[in-house]
Order: sequence, then structure tokens, then C-alpha cells
Amino acid sequence: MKKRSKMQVSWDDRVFDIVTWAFLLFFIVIVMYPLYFVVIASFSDPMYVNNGQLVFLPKGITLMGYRRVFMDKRILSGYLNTLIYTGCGTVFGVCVTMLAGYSLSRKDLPGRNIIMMLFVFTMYFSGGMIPMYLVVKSLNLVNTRLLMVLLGSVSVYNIIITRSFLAGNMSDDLLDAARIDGCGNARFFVSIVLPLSKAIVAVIALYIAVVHWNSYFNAMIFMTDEGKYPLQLYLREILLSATTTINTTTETDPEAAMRLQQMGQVIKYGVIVVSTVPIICVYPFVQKYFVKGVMIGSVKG
Amino acid sequence: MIKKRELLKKLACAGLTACMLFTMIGCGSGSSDSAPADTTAQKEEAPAEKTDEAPAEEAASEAAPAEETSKEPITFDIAVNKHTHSMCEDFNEQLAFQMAEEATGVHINWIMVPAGSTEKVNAMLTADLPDAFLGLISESQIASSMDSFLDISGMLEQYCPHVLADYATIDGGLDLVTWSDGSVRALMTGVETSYQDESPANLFINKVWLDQLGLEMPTTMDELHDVLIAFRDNDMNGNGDTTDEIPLKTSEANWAAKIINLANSWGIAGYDSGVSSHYFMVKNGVATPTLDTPAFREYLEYMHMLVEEGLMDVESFTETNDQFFAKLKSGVCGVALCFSPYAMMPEEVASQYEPIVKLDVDGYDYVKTGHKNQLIANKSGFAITSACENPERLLEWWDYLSSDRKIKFTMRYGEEGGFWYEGDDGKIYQKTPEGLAEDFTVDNYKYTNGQMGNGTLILKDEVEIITKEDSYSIWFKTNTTEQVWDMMQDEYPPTRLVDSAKLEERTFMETDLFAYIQNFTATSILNGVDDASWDGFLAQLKTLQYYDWIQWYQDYIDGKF
Repeated sequence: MKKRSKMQVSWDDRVFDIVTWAFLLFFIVIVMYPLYFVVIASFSDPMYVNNGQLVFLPKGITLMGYRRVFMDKRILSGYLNTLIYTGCGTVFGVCVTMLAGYSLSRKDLPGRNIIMMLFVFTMYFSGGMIPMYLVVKSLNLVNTRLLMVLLGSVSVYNIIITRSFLAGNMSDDLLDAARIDGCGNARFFVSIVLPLSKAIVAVIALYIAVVHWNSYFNAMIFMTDEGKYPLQLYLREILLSATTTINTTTETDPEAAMRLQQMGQVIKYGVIVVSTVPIICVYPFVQKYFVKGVMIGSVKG
Repeated sequence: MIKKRELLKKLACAGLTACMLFTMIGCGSGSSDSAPADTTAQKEEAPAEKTDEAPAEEAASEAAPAEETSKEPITFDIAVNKHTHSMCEDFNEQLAFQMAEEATGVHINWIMVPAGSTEKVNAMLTADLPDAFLGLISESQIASSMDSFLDISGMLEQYCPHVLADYATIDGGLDLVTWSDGSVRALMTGVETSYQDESPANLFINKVWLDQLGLEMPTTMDELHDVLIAFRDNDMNGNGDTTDEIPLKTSEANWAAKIINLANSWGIAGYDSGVSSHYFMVKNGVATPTLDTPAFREYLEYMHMLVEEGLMDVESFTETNDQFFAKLKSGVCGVALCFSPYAMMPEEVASQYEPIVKLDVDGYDYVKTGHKNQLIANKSGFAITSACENPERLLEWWDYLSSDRKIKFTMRYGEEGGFWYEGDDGKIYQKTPEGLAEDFTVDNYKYTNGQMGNGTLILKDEVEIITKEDSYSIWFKTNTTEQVWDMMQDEYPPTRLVDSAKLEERTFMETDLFAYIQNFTATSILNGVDDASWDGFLAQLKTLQYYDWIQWYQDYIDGKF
């Protein structure tokens, strides 16, 4: 350390360091400030927020937004539903994705290229909403929690990442060695492949969890029982209703709509904080796997 | 060993057969035993209910045969839009539907559709039709999916006598819901008219500021100009800063604050809150252009003068509705264009404002934007679909809910004594319900216990009376409408359903035309208008089919489609 401190740093290195630090700080501010703004706005009177008077510190401090959010039973039940859908959906999604990715990574799987082609085909062409609705309806899955767990759990993109990772890391020699020791396919997958794939499992789990956490569209289309609504759908409903255009050619309740808009203003930022914090909290725990998981195998086929 | 297996197989077979038999017996008994019992019970109750709840003279006697046949319990699926204020988990908890089920035997399985779920409704229309839609379908959706909705025109006389009796009292009658092919695909919901909404946008002035300056209420645009200058130059809100006052506040982001409403002083008025309704006026049965007139140019020049002198907020064209609200709430606006100050600002701020009734301009007659006795009922409110196997029973159920003023109000607001009551004079009055709290407001009460705009049609004469004591904010708005009533125009385009082809024809013209007009208006107000830009505007109106668009309305007025 002493030696290092005595090392002479040339002026161009010093300039380089300063510029780099300045850039880094600039980008950190650009990324962090909106998040910080949302947090201080959630504690401030919406009047100051909308007037542009809020810059660094909360103004007209109020907990009204949070109080309204936590007093609303529908938001709490939505929270619980989202946790269920995200938890179960992630477990299910990771299982299916890993199994599919592993199978497709094995060279001895007959017709794997055709299967892969069919998978990839669905990334470019889909039946559309109405055929999907018909399928879901014929499976009697409309308005069921199971549907919310299943939909969005498996994506071809994740399967491709997993397949590439496993193809690059699980060599044939490893399989041969395991076989010599009497290991079958299932044992090899559970005892060897999974423990060696923690990075990709963590990444895939995060991807799937985020999709489930943010999902509202499927619930909007397929769910009719309000008790099964996820959080995001209810939040969307509040914010959308608050901004719905009023006109006087059909009956409207302008005062109720305007009060709803005021409520929307009050709870908007509180709702963003409440609905975002849990998923943000997950990131630090999987961060160490993140780059590794996504990048490994990215240059291999 | 083999014998043992065969024995087990036989036992399993016998068990399964027994299960099947029990299941069949169970199913059979449910449909054959319980139904007649219910039917007789309800038949016995029917006459008593009839006399109580159907005062509608001739209609009542016509309704009787229909009700005699409608006692067997039956369930329908109805998709309904649920307002965000509603905290009701199942609409069957609402008193009106409990009464209707008891009287007609019709049980509803409510399919709640959250607000703003157009995609969901489209999916249902294509792939999963319920028996009916309540408050979810627009006229254009019916026009474009006509086959998805049942033509009920032939059934109304027999199964909906009360509904027909109501329609007979409205100007236009059944024609209001009749399509050009003679079919009726939906029935009306909501109220026939709403007096307080008939003048959607009004100017309100801060009377406290006016009194501080010792100025009179302005009655002309010139006087308004002087007042605005005074507001600009003085520290009206007393915070030591003479620059934070906004003398005149309008906003293009708010439905009732659009600057086009100020053209009323130049004789240009719309028939509703929409900007495009100001683009022509009906005069002696003729759709007359308003944009190519000297009046419109003078209006633009006057507004530009206000902008140049710093008397108007230039952010009005770019701000969001939330920002508009925030400015009004902060108490810095001298004159504000809006629906009502009580709907936009805290009560202590709103109470400082009074309406400006009229602002004259020399050479022009003041005409107020609005629509006297405007039919605001939702003409596509209750639509029975082609998937409904027993529409007669559903119509009977709807007719029951339309049979009496009290049941209509129960469906709209919930039980009597809550948000409404019948006075000694036989009229309906509003009242503040009990049990309100911070997390259960009056809006929550209305939308949880009633259907509000999705309720059966309430006629103009049946609408509740609002007193100053019961609801000051609504009274204030009603009072404002009363003051400007005589200045509102008397002629409007008719209210009639238009088929999808004609609607598309009009929409095709509107897209570019409206965008250009709005852009020109904003640019002229901010930057000014000269002869060259005005001539260019007139030429562009022709190119963008402004006159064809007006001809479309002329044909509509003339009843050509």
C-alpha cells in the first residue's frame, strides 16, 4: 500500500480519473435522481409536485398517500395475490425452463433442432389475443389463480439463455463420468447440472419474477373475480380512472371523477414506492450471479 | 390371485355404476323438485308486489301477463363495468337486485370488468359473449358488431311495458335507441338530463381579489382585460411576490377548461364540452361554419393580446391535468375556466370564486356553450347479446327495475334513507348518508350501494332535487347553470344512432382536420395571426374537408341517414 501511495501518477492519468469519476457521478445522478424524486414525492403534497416546486427535499410532508394505500383492503389483497402469483409462477417457470433448456442442450435428444425451431417460431408469430382467449376458455382456466401462475412463466428467450449456458458448461465428459459412476439422466440433472447452474437459475428466476410482478394485462383479460386481482391491475385501475376523460354527452359524475383524480395524485407516488420496493429488494441478492449468468454461453451456440 | 383381481374389478365396476346413478338422481331432483316450488311461491307473491311497485297506469296492466310466466329461477351472466369507487364485491348484495330477483326469479351472475378494460370487452365480444352487457358497450361497438347484439324491438311491448312508457315521455321516444335498420339493440341507462352539467364550462373570478381592488364584476371583454391587468400588477395573494399570480387560467388538458369556451363572447358556442362542437353551429336548421368567420379571427387576436401582455398562462397548451389542478389549488389564479371551483379546489379556496355570467364584445351576441335539456342517458347502456337464450326473462327483469321511481333510485343510489329520500311533497331529495369515513366517502357509498349511471333510466321529472343545505357544491353549479341558461343556444344536432359506415366516414375526415385546427388555434394564440396565416388557414380548411364535414352534419340534421 505504501509503495502504491508513493507511485507517481502522471497528469494524463489524473485527468482520465477525474473525467471517469465525473462521468460516473453524472450517470449515477441521472439514474438515481428519478428514483429519489419518486420517494420524496410520495411524502409530499401533490400540489408542490405538480407545480414543479419539488427538487431535493419533500415539501408539505404528508403520509396521506401511504395511509390511503394501506387502508385499502383491495390493495392489500392484490399484494397477497401478486406474491402468490410471483412465488408460484417463478418456481414453476424455473423448473420448466431448466428442464427445457437442459433437454435442448443435450446433443442426443432426437429432433432437438426441430423442437428449437418450433419454439423460436413462437417468438415471431403468435395467434393473437382472441385465439389465446379461446384456448384458455376451453381449458376452463378463465378466472382461475392457476392461469395467473402459468401465464408468463415460460418464455422462449429464457429457454434459449438456459440452453446456451448448459451447452457451454455441462460437457459430454461430465455426463460420461457420471454415467460410469452409475448416474442416470434424472440424477445427473438434479445432482450435478442444477448445483452447477446456480447463476443461470438465479437470473432466470429474477426475469420470471419481474414479469409476474409487473403483469396486469393477463389478469385484466382473464380474471373477473376482484379477489383474485394482482396488485398491478388494481393500481392501473385507480390511476386510469383518475385520468379518464369526462364528457357531458353521456352521464358522468364530474365531481366524483375529479375527487378520484385528486386521490390518484395523492397515492400515485406512494403506490409506485409500495409496488416497486419488494422487487428492488430482490436485486442485490442475485446481483452476483447476474452478469455471470447472462454472459456465460452468450457467445456459444 | 386371479380370482381376487376379478373380484376387485367387479367391485370397482359396481361402485362406479352406483356413483353414476346417484349423480344422475342428484342432478334430476335439483331441476324437477325445487323449481316448481319456487314458481308457485313467487306466483303467489306477484300480485301484491305489482300493486305496490308499479303505479304506471296502463303499463302495469300490460305487464301483468309477462310477470305471470316469469317465476322459474333462472340465472344470466351480465358483464358490468365496476367503478373504482365501488367497494361492492358482488352486485347481488345491492338491494335493487335482491328485490328484482325476488320479484322475477332472475338471478344475475355478475362479471365485473375493471375500468378502462377495452381489450377485455373486445375479447368478450369476439369469443365469450355473456347474456348482456351493462354500461360497458359504446354505440360504435354495437354499430361494428351488430350481430353480437339481439334485436329486442319485437319484445319490448310485451316484456318491457314500463320501459316503453318511460320512453314515450322523452322527445324522440323509442327512435332514440332504434338503428337505421329498425332494430333496437340496447336500452338506455342513467338519467335523461342533468341540469348542472348542461353548461359544462364557466368562468369563475376570485371575488376576494376583486373586492380588494375595489373593482366591479366584469361584464365585457374590455372590462375583463382591465381586471386581468390589475390582477397581474398587484400582489393579490399577499405573499410579497407580484409575479406568481396567474390572471387568467385555462387548460387544454382539462375537459371543461378549454380556451375555445372564451369564443362565446364572439357568438361562437358548442353544444357540449368538446372542442369540435364549436366548429359549427346550427342556425335555423342549417349547420353553419364558425371557423372561417371574422368572429373567430377576432377571438384569436384577443387571446393573443392576453398572452402578449402576460395575462394568460402560456403553459395552458402543454401542461397536464394534474398541473392544472395544482395551479388552481395553490390559489394563484384570478379568473379560472372550469366545471366548478368546488370540484377543483379546496373549499376554502373555492369559496372565493363567483361565476362571470356574461362577457360581451361589441358587434356580437354572446352565446354560451351548452345544451339545454341534453339527453345524457347512455343509449347503449343495457345490451342483450345474441348468446342470451331467454331474453324475455332478462327484459322482464330490466322492466321490473324500471317499473317505479323508487326502484330506479334504489338501483341508482342504494336503499331509501341512505343517499336519497322521498319528501313529503312526493319528490326525491338527496341527503348525506350515515357511516361515511375517510376511507369510505360519499362516492364510495353511491358506487358501492348503487349502479349510478348504469341504473335504469330516470326521467327528467323524476330527478332528485338538490338543496343548498344538502350539497352546496352541486347547488352552486346548478345555480351557475341557471344564471347562464338563457344565453345558451337553442338549436343542436339531433340525437340519433348512426350506422358504422357513416360514422367511419366522419371519423376519416376528423383525424387530420381536428389536428390542424387545434394546432392553428394554439399557434395563433401564442404567436399571433396575420393576413397571410389567416388566408392559409382558410385554404387549408377547404383542403382538409372542413366543408364536407359540415355537410355530413347537415345531412344528419336533415335526416338523410
